[in-house]
Amino acid sequence: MSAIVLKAQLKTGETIIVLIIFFILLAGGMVFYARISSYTAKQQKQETQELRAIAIEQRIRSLSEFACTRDAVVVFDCYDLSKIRALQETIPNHALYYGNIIFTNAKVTITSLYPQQEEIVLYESEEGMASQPFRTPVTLYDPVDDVYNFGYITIEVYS
Amino acid sequence: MVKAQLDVQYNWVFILIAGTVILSFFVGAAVWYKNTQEQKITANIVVNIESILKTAKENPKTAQTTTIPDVSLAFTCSLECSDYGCASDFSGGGISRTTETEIVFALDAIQGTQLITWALEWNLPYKIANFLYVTTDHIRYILVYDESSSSLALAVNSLLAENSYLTKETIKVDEITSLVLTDKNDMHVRVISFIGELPSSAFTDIDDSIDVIIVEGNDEKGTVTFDDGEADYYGMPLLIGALFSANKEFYSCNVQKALLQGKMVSEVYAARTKALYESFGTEKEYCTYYFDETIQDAITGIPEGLEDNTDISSEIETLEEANDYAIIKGCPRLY
Repeated sequence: MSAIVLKAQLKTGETIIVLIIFFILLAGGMVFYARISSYTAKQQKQETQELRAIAIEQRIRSLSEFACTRDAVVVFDCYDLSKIRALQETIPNHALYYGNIIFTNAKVTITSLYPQQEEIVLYESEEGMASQPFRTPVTLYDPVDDVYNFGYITIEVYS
Repeated sequence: MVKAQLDVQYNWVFILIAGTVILSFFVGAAVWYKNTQEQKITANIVVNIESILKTAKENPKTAQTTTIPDVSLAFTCSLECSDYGCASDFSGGGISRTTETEIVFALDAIQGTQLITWALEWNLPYKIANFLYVTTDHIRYILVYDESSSSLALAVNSLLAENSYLTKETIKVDEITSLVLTDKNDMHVRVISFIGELPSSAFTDIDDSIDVIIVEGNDEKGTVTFDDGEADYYGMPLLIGALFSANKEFYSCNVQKALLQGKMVSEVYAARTKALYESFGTEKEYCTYYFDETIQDAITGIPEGLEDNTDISSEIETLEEANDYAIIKGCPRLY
């Protein structure tokens, strides 16, 4: 075998190795990019769900039928337990409004922790997978016993 | 020699065509980029204005002024209503946001760099909703009244005075024929007449865009006449809403939204009152008196009365009285 042929074979081998390395790097890059993309998408989804939960929380805050009132004056960050129970009862009569406008595709739970312990599922959307729950501490007023409870509202947004 | 000359000419033609194509491409790209950016900016402005409106709505009895870019904002509200809201939105630069369930009183088109927002609560007597009023510093409101209508006009004026950002003036007339409105270079002038129709001589000195609405009634109820018809109001927040509304349809559409809200809120209050009535044990049995069927009927009677356009003052009085006594007796409040 002549020296020229050997040299040519070496060159071909070299090219093949370069190509293999190139494709390995390309594949690595693609895998890395795919992972980054999927991570970013997951983060964006979570962020969107958090923003939606905040928006639902803000809408709940502005509901006239929900808040504690003193002669029609709204008490900040306080929710009336008797109104919550009444609202729970009337939501099915206005399912479109509460389902499409207020609690869009989410589950809303009100939990009273102390001194009275109670959990009320105010609204639950029919389908979807819940995201990480978003909790806000609130005061829950029980007008029958005239007791202010410490509790929180949990909003789970469905994807 | 001739071929060389032709070649040079062909070269120049080619350069011209290629240059034009390249230049057009870059000009097109620049125009497209400018339009996209403008759309983005307008979308941002509209989103920001939406959050300004939401914040303002949640702060009743508070007037706010916000500096905004000089975009024209359009508000629409039509009487195509569902079970919970009516078809309505606001838009700027072709970008619109829905206000299907929000009660927003405004003229159909407003322009200016100072957006004035103001909210009032609508209580019957329990809280139904917050009304949002939107205007700009380029709109002037003129209240025209005489001695006989001074009570309502001054009540309206004193409520409007809570919003110090409004451009408004009051004119008390002794002789209607002597009334002459002056031009102050406003974008629009809304005249609120408490003395009926104004003579055409009142507008001879004014070149601004102008419209007149006529108010008749008292601070509890009455009628407002727009160019396109007459509408009723119940309470000052609705009357103020009429003063800020573009026309009868816009006002009635927002009233319809308020009534739908009223229906839903009343249902919750009725269910709550019934549940409380049933919950009192022997220890607080006397409290049942303030939550009994009379009270429950009064609550359900309020939205029905508003819908049927009947007098609801007795229902409101019943609830106010029961609430006052419930407080005195140490019972839960009705509202």
